[in-house]
Amino acid sequence: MSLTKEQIQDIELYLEQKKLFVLDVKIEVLDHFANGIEQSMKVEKIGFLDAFEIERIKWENDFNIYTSFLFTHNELPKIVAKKWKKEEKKILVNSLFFTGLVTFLVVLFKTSLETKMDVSFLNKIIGYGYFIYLVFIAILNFKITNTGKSTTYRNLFKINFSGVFIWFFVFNPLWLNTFQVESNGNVLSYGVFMSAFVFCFSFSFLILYKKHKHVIKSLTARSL
Amino acid sequence: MSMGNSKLYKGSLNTIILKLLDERGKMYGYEITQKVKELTKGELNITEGALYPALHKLEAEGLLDVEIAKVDNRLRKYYKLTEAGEKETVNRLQELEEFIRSMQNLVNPNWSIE
Repeated sequence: MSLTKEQIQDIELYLEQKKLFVLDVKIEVLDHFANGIEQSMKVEKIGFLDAFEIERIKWENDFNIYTSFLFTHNELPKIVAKKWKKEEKKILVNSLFFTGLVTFLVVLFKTSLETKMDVSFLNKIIGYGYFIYLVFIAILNFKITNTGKSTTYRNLFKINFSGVFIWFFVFNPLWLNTFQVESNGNVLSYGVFMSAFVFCFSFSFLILYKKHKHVIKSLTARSL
Repeated sequence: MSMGNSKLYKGSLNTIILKLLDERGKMYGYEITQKVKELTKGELNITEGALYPALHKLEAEGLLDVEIAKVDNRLRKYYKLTEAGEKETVNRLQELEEFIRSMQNLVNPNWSIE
């Protein structure tokens, strides 16, 4: 027994009332919800509304609103927040790994770098690099916004974008000493670490953009 | 998972999912819950709150890939193993078997899973 288009729309409306908008999660919850209803209607010989109520109770806990420091401006159902956290954790772990690697290499060759070459240009390279990166990410941000669809990846992109945008401007070594990578001919390890982290972290924007496009492409090809 | 011994199964949920996908190619969420219920004769009932976070975690780790199809007026999200997922399934099944053997030796050395 398959549900009608109207019944599917009723479920979708309910999910949106529960603030479940991100498409990659919404489609699978909707399908699971509908499967559960169809099964109850078939096995227990009950109507749509009674079967809907059974599913609603099953999912109640997963639709509770989750709030955290990271997602303060978003009201998220628990099921979505859990997915965001997993994706964000992966981004952070990967970024820290590559940051560690870059910093380790720089520290390893620090003395030889300082003696064999003039490192005074490093702050300028990093400073202008921030701007080039910023333009690149801003283009991606424009493109991802233009798709007009909400996915886990797009929302994470938006959250991370605000942070990186501020970082690129405020902590730019061109005008702020705090995180300079060079001072008086010496390479500063903590500055290298911070800059390497921002650059490595920024790679995630490309990955998030690609994942978002992949979801949208799959949905467009099979849109309802 | 809703049952008395759910804690015993909890640590194995990811391996169960990987094993099912390895055997059946691709599956969607509801299908996984029903298959597990059927294979365990109703003993193990995976709840939605446990299943989807596990699937999303495996997907984020790059072990699962996603495919979307249109079925019965709605879209369905299928999960399948990536190459890395196939390798990881072998590793995790080995780990699980070793764990079961160790537990068997501890609890009841005369009983065998073979």
